[in-house]
Amino acid sequence: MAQDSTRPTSEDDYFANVPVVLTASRLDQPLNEAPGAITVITRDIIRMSGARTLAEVLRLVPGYLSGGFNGANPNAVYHVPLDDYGARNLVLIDGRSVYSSVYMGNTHRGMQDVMLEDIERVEVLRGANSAAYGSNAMFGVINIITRHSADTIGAEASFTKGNQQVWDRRVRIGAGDDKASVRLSAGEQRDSGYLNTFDDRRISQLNLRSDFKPTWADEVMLSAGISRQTQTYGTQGELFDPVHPAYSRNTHVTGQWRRQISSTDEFQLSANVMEGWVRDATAITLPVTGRPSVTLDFSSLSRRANLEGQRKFSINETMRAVVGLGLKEEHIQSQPLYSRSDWLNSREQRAFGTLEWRARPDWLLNAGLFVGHHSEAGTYTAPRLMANWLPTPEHTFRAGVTRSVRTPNLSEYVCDTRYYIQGQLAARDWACTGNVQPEHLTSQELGYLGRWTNPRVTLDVRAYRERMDTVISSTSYDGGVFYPLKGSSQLRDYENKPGIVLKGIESQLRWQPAEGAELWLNHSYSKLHWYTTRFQTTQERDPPAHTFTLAWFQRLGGHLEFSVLTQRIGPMTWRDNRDMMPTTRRTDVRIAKSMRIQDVRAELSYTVQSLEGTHPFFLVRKDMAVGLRSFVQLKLEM
Amino acid sequence: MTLLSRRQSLAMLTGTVLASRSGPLWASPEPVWVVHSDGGGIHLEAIAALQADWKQIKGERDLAIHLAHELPAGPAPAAVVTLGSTALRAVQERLDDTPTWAQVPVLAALMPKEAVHALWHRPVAQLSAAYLDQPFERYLDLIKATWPAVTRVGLLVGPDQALNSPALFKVALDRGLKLALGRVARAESMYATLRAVLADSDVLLVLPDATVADAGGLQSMLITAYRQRMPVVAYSPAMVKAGAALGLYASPPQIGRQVSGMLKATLAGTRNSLRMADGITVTVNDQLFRSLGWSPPEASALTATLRR
Repeated sequence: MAQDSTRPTSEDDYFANVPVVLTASRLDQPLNEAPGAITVITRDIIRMSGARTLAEVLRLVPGYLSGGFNGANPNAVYHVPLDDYGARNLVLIDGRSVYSSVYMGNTHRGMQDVMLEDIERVEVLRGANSAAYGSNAMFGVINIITRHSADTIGAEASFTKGNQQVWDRRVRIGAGDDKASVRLSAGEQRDSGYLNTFDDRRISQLNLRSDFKPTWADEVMLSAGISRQTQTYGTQGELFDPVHPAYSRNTHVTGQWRRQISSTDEFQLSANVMEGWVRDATAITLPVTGRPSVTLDFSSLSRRANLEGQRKFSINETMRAVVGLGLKEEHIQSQPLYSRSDWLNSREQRAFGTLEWRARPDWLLNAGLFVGHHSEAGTYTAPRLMANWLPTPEHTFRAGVTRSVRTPNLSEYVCDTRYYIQGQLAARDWACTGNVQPEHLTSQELGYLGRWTNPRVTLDVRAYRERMDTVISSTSYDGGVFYPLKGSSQLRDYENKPGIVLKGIESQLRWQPAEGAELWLNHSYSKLHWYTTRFQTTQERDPPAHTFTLAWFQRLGGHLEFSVLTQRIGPMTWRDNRDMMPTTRRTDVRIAKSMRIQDVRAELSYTVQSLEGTHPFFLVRKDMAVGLRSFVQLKLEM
Repeated sequence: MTLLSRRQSLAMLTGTVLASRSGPLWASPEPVWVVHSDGGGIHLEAIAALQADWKQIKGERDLAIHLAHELPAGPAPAAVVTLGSTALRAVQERLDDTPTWAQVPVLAALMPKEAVHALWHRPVAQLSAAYLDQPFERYLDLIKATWPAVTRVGLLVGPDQALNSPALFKVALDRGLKLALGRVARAESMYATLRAVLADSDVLLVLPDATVADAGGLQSMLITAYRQRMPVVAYSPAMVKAGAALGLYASPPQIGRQVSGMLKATLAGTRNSLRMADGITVTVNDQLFRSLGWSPPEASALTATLRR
């Protein structure tokens, strides 16, 4: 078409060809054609939920619970309580995996490296996805997609103030157009965490995202960020858990290039480098003669680099494929955690492929295979086979089987923690033997997705039976040397336990009864069974049998909106039987009024969390509790 | 839309022309010239439909098909049908240059309204036209039929767009819709206006406009709207292929049939009949609908609704 803006329109405007912009590979896969259950949470829902952390947002996903071993480390995990650190859940921020290389492979710190206001949507792939995403995606994938910088041109500022020392500030500026744009976000969040414990949290962030479109076929995204956290840890009066501050800093640079080769063929190259720094050290004075001191230290430094290329293409009218290669390098250094000062390195090469075959108009078959080679764990494979039957546009039935793998993180191979008094070894706690093997999970799944337009209802059901073998868990053994400071010769290690069977069914009903109103009803039932009674009785980790979540998002006239999110969690333990939580209920309510003053859009909101008041949470015997929290937020956008 | 191959179409045309000339030439009244801009499929599809319909309604005159750049000399025809801008320009030059042609009625088709009036400088009484443009309300009816819950429609227009804003707002309001109208002063400011419009819209409507709907502008609108999970309704099948959710337009055969009916009226003495497109074709981008999590509507059902 002509580019001359002075010309009148002509018949060419109606009949000339236009470059295909939204090609098959650029369009998101419809949920009913995906090889698994997916819950999508959009920017609007995140805003209306009243959540301040991503962990709180993820309560909207069936099967996910929001927890955290203290209030400074909010985390959302699937298959509680097997994964209270989120190590078996892959968390991606714009394709970058944010797990910690150093300690347990946790994801709770990395998950906080993005501000909620910068998120476009969160796609949660419930269930095993190692066949597409590799080792860490054993229980699921939390895929966080940030807003395109071309959609955030202008400025935004927000202020949040409430009880429990809630004090958040954020500013964002964006410039450019649809060809090249940039966004810079800076913010700080503070609160005092749970009740009755020392877990203050302060997180400061600076994030940059820039997008370029050098040609109509190319898209380049660059992002970088730094996130600093100051947290308080400890328990008043406990000698070996003193109240003290801890500091951490995560930095990253990410690049992504997508090229549209043809309307059915796309290539993507992505690379990222990250560094995680933790300073968590405190000296305690022992109440013995001479009052010697010993340092408790969990400080570390880690670096990770990732490179991945993938190609999505159509083989013919009925077959599409994704193939890719990737490389990851990890380097970690921690004298206190590994009792050595040199860098520990690991490397993983991976190849993956997915073939989607529309065997008939109403049958879609999906086969995937991930092959990885880890320098410590060796070669592993994760296959998947899934069939989707779409008898009508309203109904989709899904059945499939997946085998997933999680390779141990470096910490699980080489942990070695020692404590010194006046230069002399006084105790040893963790002493890993390195004998740990990868975990395996075989997941059988039945799914249903129903969509109706009148009434406007979506029903998503996932039933699963998951058998996990060689579960990595902590154990203890006699090291043969008695340590007076510990009072024993027992050392801790990681080992592979016989395994578990987890059965469950989860569902989400979304209903729009009227314009501006949306109701979500989630239910999750799960039952955990350990292979050996001995292990079951010693661990006593139990998921809640039933969890219900009801969310109501309502837009009213006069630019008013309100939302209610209430959750009932059955009795459960996050860690062991001494911390059995009774049935808990938590209701959050938010009301907001938006207005426009010339070019400025303003929103004033008031949120009350845990309306029911105080209830015990996580480590019950330490009196940890969640209490009523309320805050006001003013947001200005121009 | 099915396009005839050029070879098939030319063979068909040649046959039709020869057939229409098979009687004694000296006995025929002056024919109607059908002048097309080029030999491309769009024009040939329209001509084929025009000829078929003309035969069916028993048009009194023969149709003589000519390419715009190959107009023969000769006596004035009974009327001239032009298909496309090049054809109208060539015919207008002939009218200007040939005094005996001065009163020949002209029926312009396969052109947008804006283009017809930008080109035509002769007395308006001589001109009738079947525009490519769909009535604005028809787009809104399509939006309501597809998404009954939608209340806000975004639309970008250029500085020279002749659309009457108050009338547009009223047409929208009558259908329970609020129009978010963004005026783009120049192409460079299009993206800022687009973002402002999208912020107040549930659906983006794209109409032909030289400032906003050039190749870059279309790409920007489609990508930006998709990122915000907003469907785009457009005016051409090519745009649906490019990424719009729905397209509403008149197909070339529908235009041919509309021209046939209007030609009969012209020959009967009707002058200056200026009509929007009668033909209704709806194209649905199934893949895009599914990608947005919706079941694609039936194009035939939407077409039937609009016809009612």
